[in-house]
Amino acid sequence: MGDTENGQLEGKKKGHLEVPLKWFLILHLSLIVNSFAGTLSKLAGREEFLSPKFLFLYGLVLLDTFAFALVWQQVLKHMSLTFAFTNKPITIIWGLLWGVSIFHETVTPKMMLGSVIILIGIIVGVSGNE
Amino acid sequence: MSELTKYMAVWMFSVFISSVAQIMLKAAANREYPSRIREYLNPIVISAYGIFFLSTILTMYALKYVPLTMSPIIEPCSYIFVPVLGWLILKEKVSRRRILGMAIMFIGIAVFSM
Repeated sequence: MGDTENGQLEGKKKGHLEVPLKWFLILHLSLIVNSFAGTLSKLAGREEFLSPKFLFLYGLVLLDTFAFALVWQQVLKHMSLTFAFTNKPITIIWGLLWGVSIFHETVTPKMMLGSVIILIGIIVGVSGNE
Repeated sequence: MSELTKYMAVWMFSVFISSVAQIMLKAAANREYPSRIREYLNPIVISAYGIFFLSTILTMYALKYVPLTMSPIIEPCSYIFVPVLGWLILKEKVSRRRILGMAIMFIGIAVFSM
């Protein structure tokens, strides 16, 4: 708890992160895990309903969601919900990356531009809360 | 009220209650529990996940009538609901800088979905 308070004070003073770096990284790892759910759902959706492959992939969706829920609750102990939520749109960009690399989906210039603007928004939103 | 508007309202309500569930998770995270397992198995967290489940049902129901293309308009509303509820209920500080960041993200989501 102490490191959180110190981190928050530091963030307010210097205009940097208001949470310890460790928990900031854990937050982002959890958001990457969260972004897998959409990919796994799409993979499951391509299989025949209730086939073994479908059930396996759907099981992974549930497992992924469960893992995210476990970590999310710990993440929330170390930062404000508003701070955590400001980082959440990064999942849109992860989803885009998985879409391109796994499903060979097309990325339009608007998607690229939108991703850059989202990233700028996250950087502005999380860099200090003064 | 047209049928489309009605089902869009259902979807919006679903986004709203899942934002409320996020507030409940944070409220639970702010409390002290005797053990790690009790951090998860307590009435607030269990109710929050019950609300998430209800929210998925409502979204699926709404999607029977509302086109999925409306998703980039309705789903990002959680980025408004959560900070507002966090400010009102949890008394979290939402600085001008954070509001600016969220406004930029909104523009980004809009450009991304165009």
